[in-house]
Amino acid sequence: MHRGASTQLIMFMVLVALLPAVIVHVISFGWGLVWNLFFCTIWASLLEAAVYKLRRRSPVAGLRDLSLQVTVWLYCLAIPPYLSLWMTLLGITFAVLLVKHAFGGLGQNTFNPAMAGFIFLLISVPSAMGGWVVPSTRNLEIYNPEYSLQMLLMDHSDIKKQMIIDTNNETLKKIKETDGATYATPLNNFRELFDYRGVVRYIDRDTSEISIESHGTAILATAYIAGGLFLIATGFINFIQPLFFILSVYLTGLIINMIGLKYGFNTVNNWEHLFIGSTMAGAFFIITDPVSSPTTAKGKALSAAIIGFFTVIIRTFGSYPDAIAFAALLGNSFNPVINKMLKPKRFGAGGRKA
Amino acid sequence: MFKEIVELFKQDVWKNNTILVQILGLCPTLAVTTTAVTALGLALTTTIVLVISNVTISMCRRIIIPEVRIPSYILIISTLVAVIEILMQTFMFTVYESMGIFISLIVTNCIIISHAEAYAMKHTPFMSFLDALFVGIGYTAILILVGSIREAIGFGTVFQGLNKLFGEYFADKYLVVLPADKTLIFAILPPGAFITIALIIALRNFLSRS
Repeated sequence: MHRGASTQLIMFMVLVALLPAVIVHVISFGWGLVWNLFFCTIWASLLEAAVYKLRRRSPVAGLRDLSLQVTVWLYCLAIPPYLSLWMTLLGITFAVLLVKHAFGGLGQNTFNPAMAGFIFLLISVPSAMGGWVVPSTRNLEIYNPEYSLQMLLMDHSDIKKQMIIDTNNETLKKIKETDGATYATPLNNFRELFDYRGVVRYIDRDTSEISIESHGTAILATAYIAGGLFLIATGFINFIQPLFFILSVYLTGLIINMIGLKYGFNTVNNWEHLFIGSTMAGAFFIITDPVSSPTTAKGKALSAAIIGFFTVIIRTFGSYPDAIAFAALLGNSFNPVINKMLKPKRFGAGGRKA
Repeated sequence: MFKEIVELFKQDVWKNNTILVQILGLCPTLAVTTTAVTALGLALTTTIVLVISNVTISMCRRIIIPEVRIPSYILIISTLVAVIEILMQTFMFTVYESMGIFISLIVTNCIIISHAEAYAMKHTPFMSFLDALFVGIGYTAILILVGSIREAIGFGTVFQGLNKLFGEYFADKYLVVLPADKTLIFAILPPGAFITIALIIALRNFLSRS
């Protein structure tokens, strides 16, 4: 952060680091993401330009910092790839207008716009937001650009029906036997698997070979890790937040598992907490957002630990499929307190009295 | 006199609107505005309590000892609320049920106690009556607005269930704004209430800037 990098450069590097995840996402879920990125970029840029015009600032200068682009990419990676287009655009509208600009624009927004937009959709249209396709290498053929576009323009009830038809019944059955992924997000499946007591294991199954079909979310998580490590190596994000976040998720998961086994409620295996849902995306790209995280290193560590703790708690006891977004927003709301509590001492203050 | 009344009306409905400017009595406003009808129900009930309590307190203003004036207001207001609650249980049970605890909570509504303290104690019963009425109009208007917006986005209808308040004639007299699969549950959840009210306050500030 002390290398005098411009906002534009930082944001550009984040986009570069997100590329592996985007590629893996497209390979396992088809071309929906590309269309979402295309439409969201156009729409969000128009909105942001309008806001800058209203605030009597130059729209071109505002759009050039690429921060909007990062928001759009994270948002599109978070939502299901095949969602009615009006929902997708509504979510990004909420993120840009109310979460980013109503609080004062880049640098002033308390909450992470991408996650807030995602949550807006998650609690507005929960049934549509559960509609993920099964990760599969066939998806790239089935959901080709033309067909993906058709899907996006349908109503969400039709999209769901279509997705069930597209997923070959036999494949679906096989997948269900091996690792329990249906067309819903894998985290929904934990709830289905909770029929028996104990710790649910999701990734370590009997399948010996690693493929998108059996390890879809883990491969996506690896892509995020690769991008995140690249950002840390080049010095654009700090290692403190991912480290404390991952530690916190792992340890909280461990403790919850022990409590769960003793008192008989169901939990997710603590290792798997790290590779399911969007834990890794959260660790490297969401909680490291420089605007909506505390300023000091200690504050960053504390905030990351809080978010990790809430992620596991919300995952275990909450009713929505993924917890990172909720935990991240909850963590964001602690920032003012953390910033105040962990204010660095002024140089020379509190020394010996003469 | 007439000029005074017009000025009072302007003050209570627009310039010092209890919700949009004074931000008073927000708790019931946020909680019951999930549909236009429950909002209307609570707004009307609050207005009735406000009018009667304002007039009563104004009439008693020479007997109330200043040192114990707040307990006296509470006594008068809670008596009224208890009466209204029992009446609603008897005659409008469905409305009573949909508003739940918020009817009893009218006792603690800051709007009523603030107008008892700030207006009724210093003015004649007639002016206090008008003040209460105008405040009630401003409050009801905003509650209906918030309730309609949230119901329109959340359920796709406006004023569904009016029959619970005004009899069976209104059973199917409501507007359909959005098809059922285009609604957003967000609007009827608590954050929807905060955001709707915040946007209305922003709009009011925008309109009233000189």
